[in-house]
Amino acid sequence: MSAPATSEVTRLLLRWTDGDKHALDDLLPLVYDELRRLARSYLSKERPGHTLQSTALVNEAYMRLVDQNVSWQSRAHFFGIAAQMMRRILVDHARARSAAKRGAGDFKVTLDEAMAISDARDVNVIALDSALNNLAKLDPQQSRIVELRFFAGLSIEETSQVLDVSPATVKRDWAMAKAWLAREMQG
Amino acid sequence: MDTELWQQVRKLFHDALELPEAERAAYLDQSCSDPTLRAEVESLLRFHDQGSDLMEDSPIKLLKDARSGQERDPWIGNFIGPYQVVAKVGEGGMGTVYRALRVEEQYLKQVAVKVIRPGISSSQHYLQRFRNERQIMASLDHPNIARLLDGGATSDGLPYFVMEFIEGQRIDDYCDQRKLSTAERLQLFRQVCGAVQYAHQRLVVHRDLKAGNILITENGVPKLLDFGIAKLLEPELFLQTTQVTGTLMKPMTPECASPEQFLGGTITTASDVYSLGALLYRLLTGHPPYRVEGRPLHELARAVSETEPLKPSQVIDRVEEETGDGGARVQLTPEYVSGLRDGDVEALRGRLSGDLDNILLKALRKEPERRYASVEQFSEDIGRHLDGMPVLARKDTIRYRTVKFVKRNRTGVAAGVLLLVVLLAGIATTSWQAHVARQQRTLAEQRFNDVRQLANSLVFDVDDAMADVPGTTAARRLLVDNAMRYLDSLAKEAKDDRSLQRELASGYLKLSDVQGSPYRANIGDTAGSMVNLRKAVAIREDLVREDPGNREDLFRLAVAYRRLGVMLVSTGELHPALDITQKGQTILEGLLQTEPRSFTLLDEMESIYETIGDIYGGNGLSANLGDTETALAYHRKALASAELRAQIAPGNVGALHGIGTYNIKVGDDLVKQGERAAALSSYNKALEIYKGLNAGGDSQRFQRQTSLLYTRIGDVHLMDGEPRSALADYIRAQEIAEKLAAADSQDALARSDATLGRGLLGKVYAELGQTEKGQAMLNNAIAALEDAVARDPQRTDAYRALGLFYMWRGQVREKTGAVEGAIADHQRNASLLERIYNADPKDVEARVTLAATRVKIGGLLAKKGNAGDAMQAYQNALPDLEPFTAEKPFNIEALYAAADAYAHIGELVQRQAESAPSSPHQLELWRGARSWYEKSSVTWRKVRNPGKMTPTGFRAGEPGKAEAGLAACDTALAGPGRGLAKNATP
Repeated sequence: MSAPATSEVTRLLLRWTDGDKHALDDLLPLVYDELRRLARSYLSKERPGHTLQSTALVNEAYMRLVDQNVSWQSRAHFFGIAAQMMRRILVDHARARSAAKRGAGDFKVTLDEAMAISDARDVNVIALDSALNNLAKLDPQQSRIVELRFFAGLSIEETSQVLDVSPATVKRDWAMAKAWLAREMQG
Repeated sequence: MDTELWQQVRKLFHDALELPEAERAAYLDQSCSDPTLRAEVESLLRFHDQGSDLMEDSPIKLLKDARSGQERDPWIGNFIGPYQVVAKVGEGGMGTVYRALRVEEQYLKQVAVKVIRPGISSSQHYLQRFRNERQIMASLDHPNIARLLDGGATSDGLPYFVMEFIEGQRIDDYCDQRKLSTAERLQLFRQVCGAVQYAHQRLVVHRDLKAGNILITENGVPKLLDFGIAKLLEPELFLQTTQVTGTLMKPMTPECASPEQFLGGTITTASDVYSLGALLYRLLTGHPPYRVEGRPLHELARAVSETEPLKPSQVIDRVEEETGDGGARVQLTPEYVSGLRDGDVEALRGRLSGDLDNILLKALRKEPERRYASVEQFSEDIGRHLDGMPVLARKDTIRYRTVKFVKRNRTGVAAGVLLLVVLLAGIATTSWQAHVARQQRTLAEQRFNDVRQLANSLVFDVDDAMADVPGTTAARRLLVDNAMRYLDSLAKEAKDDRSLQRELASGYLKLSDVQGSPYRANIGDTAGSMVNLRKAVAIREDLVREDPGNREDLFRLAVAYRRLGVMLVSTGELHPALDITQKGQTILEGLLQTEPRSFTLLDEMESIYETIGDIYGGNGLSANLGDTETALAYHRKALASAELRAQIAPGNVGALHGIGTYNIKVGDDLVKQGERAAALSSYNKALEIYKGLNAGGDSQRFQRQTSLLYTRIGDVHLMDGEPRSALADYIRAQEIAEKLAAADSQDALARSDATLGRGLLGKVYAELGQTEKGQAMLNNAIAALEDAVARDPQRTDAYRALGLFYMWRGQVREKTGAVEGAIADHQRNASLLERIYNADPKDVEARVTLAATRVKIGGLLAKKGNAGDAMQAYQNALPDLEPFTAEKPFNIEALYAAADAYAHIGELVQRQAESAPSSPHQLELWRGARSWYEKSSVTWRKVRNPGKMTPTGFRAGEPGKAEAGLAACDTALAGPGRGLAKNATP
């Protein structure tokens, strides 16, 4: 699998920045595939001594996919997308593993069933995803902060740049989101 | 919580966070009066303060941890094709087997995926073996054999295949855990035998039968796995008794391996008999026939090949220790093994001694020919034992008594048995031996049924298995021939037996196939094939006459009609072919009315539509009525039916093959209608289908289709004046055709394809200016075809091909200026076409091609300056062309040839006018020339999208010639400057 042409992703990104909603539909799978590919190569033996930080992965995807001369808005948009896609990759993976563990025969997988039999780690990811959806209904910004901080691995500074809010706000919202999610997932 | 409330919570939380813990309560007292609000903020602060490991790890680390639990196999979690790999379930020398999932909508389907080990995938030897296994699995469809579901290559190009995932227990564990009695174990074992016997009938020897390869499902169904070292028997070997040759040691499992496997001898079905014996020995006694553990392999080999195993009834007294599952030591004692079976030691001994001792020792004989002759026989003997009947297995050798018996009974059925025995040595040798002691009568009856069963198994199972394997044509003929002789003689004895009559009809059809099916590998005996087809039709008609309501018999009759129709087409008898095939059409359409979505009925229906379409307008190499439009309609009907079949059974190879074939035929018809772009798109659809099918296996039929398809695409490019593209297409076609012909030198069809391909290549090389090379290839192809025609004078399709080559060579010669040679070639073509046409005056294709050839000859004669003969040739041709130049239905070749002929006649008349300026007829001559040019121009206008070549391969005339001639005539008729006006005025 080869990475899509830089120009293609950049073009879509610019169109989306300019308000073209359809551009996003084309953009998401490209970013998803690239991140997935990178994640796999990070995890394989192809890269000895690699970092386990997702920020490195997202940054590499950015370097590979986007023309470096784009505006900061476009850059911010890219990281927003990448964070969402990292979240999806992780959740997809956890779901697949849960389903796989379920065993023989043809069967219908429900989230509950999947959670009942999976690794704690997989459960966490799936439950986090679900809790995060609830959080987004109350506070979309906090949900995005969680995506950027956790799934994309961005720092407080970077997150504040992407969302165009102060670092102090990011910090406090991040703290609150974590507390809220921890409570939500405990119950 | 609504968002407004949330925003209040958020503000309070943010503010409180900035304060030291101790001051937060005071702050909240002051800023928050709503107790609910306050409770929410405090709750969140509490969770914040106590901290959590939530989102502490990087997500990448989570992914990584998840993997490390799975031994870091690169496939686990990843996709092989559309299958997501879950866990490794086994590993062999060549490949690794994984449990994998395919997500279909909301459902998950569990499968086993075997993928070749990356390390050995570069070795052709292993790749071949891996593909071999896949091919073997594909040929086996039995309830007790793990089924092949799919196959392909990973994105890295590693081949894999997908089998049904069997969740079950090894047969030995299953038996022990349930403490099955000896009788229950024997019943289970017999089911395993059924599966092995089934594989043997398909010429597949498993070679690694052992407890670990036989799983019993929850429902108690045994499933045979792992054909990783299985082998497709050479048919020659199949016919011989076993012979030991010095080959390399093959992979094997010592406990169940036969002496010949240890010694590197030839592996046959008898080796599987031995392995099954070893397995049964273990199941019944708990002990292996030879102690394996702690013994060096060479010592074990010696024991296995030189010493007799202990009798099962004695081995149970032995005390042995061995390593069980999971490495625990298991003590095998008489009490232990009996406890798992029939209770106490003496009960088990009583059960084993006698019959079962003899049966097992017979299966475990060192000499393959002294074991049971087939797995079926082995299994039947166990059955007899269970029924309390006497068994075959006896201590002494029966060979001697057998020989005596055969000598005594060299008549009737017994002689038949003897012949079959010769044919099937090694498989069927001794099934009747034990009956020696019984009365003749019972024996004869049983023989009758055995022979019938064996002959059927040969005709249907074995031949089907071999049909798609290159190199087996001669063996197929031998097998089928012999089997048929049997059915023939048996039929005489049982004239009123309808089921036997049916078998006989099917047998005749099958034999006819091997002799000369135009569609499959055959041995080129058209006359013999026709005789057997007519026999089959006659029997089928009788059956329907006796019971007209029997749908199965009706269906079979329709099949036989269609088959006869196809054969009649290949010998050029078009109208009889059409009549008989339409009889089949009527039957089938009637049957489909009650079952419109029956896969089988649709399958046959489309073959009938296809055949009728071919009769109306085939591909030019077989006779047809030249009605392309009707042909197109029938071929489209066939295509629609195949598409319906593919919808009913998605992925079904037959349906896909149908879609491919009918797209080709629709494309052919479109080419003749001048719709070459549409034709190319049909061809490309077909090509996609065959690429998919070729990726799934190596059946020679699909490869042949791919080759033919490239040829057609090349033809279209040639018509479009793109000889370079055509060359590339022809080369692709030829590579495949030569490969198939080389694989089986007996296969007439593959040979003729390869020959035809050489001719085509010659033609296109000449077209590209490489005249010498082109001519040499054409000469080579012509010599081969002349040879083929001499060998099988019934095949008019070979005449046609030969005629085509003469024509092409003629055109090449014409290009190089060798006019005489060109005329000679066209005349050769003409005389072949005359023969075909005379045999069936309704063969429009032959008639038109013959006329077109005469037009070509006329052109060459004119070139030589022989205007009178040229004119004669044109005048001879036109009556055979003009009936087919109407607007509808038209014949494309007739249009090309007539348009060309008219322009040529116009030219001849024009020259006469020009050479006789003073003739009183000059005006008449110019008017005459003009009217011929006019006819040519009108005819050209009916040719949609004129090409450089006609579909048959004639170099097409120039439409511009008519227009130029018209202009010249008009100038002459109107122009005062050429002395015409002067003469025109009286």
